[in-house]
Amino acid sequence: MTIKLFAGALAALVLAGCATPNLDNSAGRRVVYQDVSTTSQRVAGVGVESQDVVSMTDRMIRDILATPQIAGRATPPRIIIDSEYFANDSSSRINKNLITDRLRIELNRAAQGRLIFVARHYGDMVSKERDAKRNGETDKGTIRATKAKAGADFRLGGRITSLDANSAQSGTLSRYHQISFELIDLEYETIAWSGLFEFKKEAQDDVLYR
Amino acid sequence: MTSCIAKRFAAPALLALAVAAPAHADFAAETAKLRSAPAKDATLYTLQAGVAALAENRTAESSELFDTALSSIEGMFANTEGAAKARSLWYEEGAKDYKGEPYERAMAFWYRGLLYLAGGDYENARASFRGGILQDAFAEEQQYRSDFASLMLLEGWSNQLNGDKGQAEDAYKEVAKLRPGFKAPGKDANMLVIAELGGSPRKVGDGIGNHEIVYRKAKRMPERTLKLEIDGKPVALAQAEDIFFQASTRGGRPVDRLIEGKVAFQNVAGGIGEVAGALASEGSVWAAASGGGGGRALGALAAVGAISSLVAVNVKPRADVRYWANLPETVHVAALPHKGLPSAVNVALFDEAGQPVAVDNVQVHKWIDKRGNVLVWIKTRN
Repeated sequence: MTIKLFAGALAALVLAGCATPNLDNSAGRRVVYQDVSTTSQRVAGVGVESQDVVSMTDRMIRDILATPQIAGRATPPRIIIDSEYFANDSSSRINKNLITDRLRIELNRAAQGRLIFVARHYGDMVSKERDAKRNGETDKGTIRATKAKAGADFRLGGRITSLDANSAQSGTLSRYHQISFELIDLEYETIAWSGLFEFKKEAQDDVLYR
Repeated sequence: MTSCIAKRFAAPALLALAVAAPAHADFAAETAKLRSAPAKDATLYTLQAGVAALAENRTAESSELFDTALSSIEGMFANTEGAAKARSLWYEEGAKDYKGEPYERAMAFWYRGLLYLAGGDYENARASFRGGILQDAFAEEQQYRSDFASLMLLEGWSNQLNGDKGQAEDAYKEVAKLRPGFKAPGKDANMLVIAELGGSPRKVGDGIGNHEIVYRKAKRMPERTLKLEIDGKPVALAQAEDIFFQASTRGGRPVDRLIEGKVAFQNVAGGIGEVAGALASEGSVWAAASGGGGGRALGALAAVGAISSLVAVNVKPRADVRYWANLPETVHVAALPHKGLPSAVNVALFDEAGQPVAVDNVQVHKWIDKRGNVLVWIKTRN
């Protein structure tokens, strides 16, 4: 009898212990480098993430370099790649420079002189220095002087668009992204090259959040 | 960028708000709360700190706070420890990481969108407002069927400023379906005025063990309408949203069924405990009177009763009543042409009966972007 009572009391104690105040006593986690081309195991959403930026820019670089009209010219064409005409028309908030900067930099490195990149996004910086050289505030530098800054042959245009689907019943959210890249002939207004990257992500929230 | 605070209003006379006054201390208080908050409540206090920062015209801090909160809101919470606890019998729903109800999530996107508008980033503003609409959605494939018309209006406004006329018209048509009599902003409009009136909808626990959420209006915050003058000219604002309505018409949540299950289990366990205890008690009296045995059986019955009662006591069916405390009750909007930043913004507030309402520390902030488009933001409570 005594043993049974003791067992009952012990069970009661265990049950009472289950209801201790909610305390987050996790030990934390040291900083670790993550691979930018893989999905995080801890934080993930249905928007554009690092692995998408890496994948899409890598694919566009390969595609541009494989296009003779762009990368196979006897005289390397001048290209502007920035976010000025690259629009975000999607439901995802994003800094577009993440995409265009990586595309320009990696393309510049991979092209090895077959393409010349015009730094239109640094236009103000260059203009100030040219003015300083010409009004005698500074000397002329050591390389050369040109009458004008470089004009470009092609410029990047494009658009990020998305299509959302949401089911409140199941807590499922799905987002399809379509990202278009185009190089526009800046004299003739034709599209010299086009590339498309698309992906769809779907996730289901815990029942507690539906 | 300029900002100012209206001290106590001498209603119904309009008080000029052109002179800058000391900023609120709320941001510091909200930041302190955030620092001391348990991890599960971090998003809630981040959102509150975001609004407090905006109310003090700290747009950079506010943007960062809302980005942090939105990464949590947009992230998918699957198989988290907090969620598992909240589903269990022994923890209340509030053990989960706070993400807010749909109206709160939508408002997080609302503020992030306003901050993008203030900075002239129309594309990300549009993305934010679309994200908010999606949070309030109950359907599939862009048939949003959402009734958060103010977010649609702001999506349209972002489109208009970005030069996407067709998309702006589409968004305004959606607003018109939900708000009969809605007038789309004129083509020459470049200034948006947003006035946030009243206090946040309150979540209150109701029912046995507070297992139900009911919504109540904020106490002692009766302002429902306003009169506005900008640079001496009256500006008519239309009510674009009733946040309390959004909160209270959300309908049943799937998690409510889990909580109801906890209540049912608690009732059954409590009933077993009560009956077993009563039987053991009555049985022992009867056994003593008749001089019979059965002491062991009655003891076991009493133990079962005690354990069942303890189980019932430890079941936590309480619903999650944490709420975003510095949201407004209603939102009023106007769009009009204006050259440059307005120099004087005058506000007078009125209650439902049209009586003047005196409010301390009404916040008025104005921003102009590089294209000359203006955002005026008014908030009566913090």
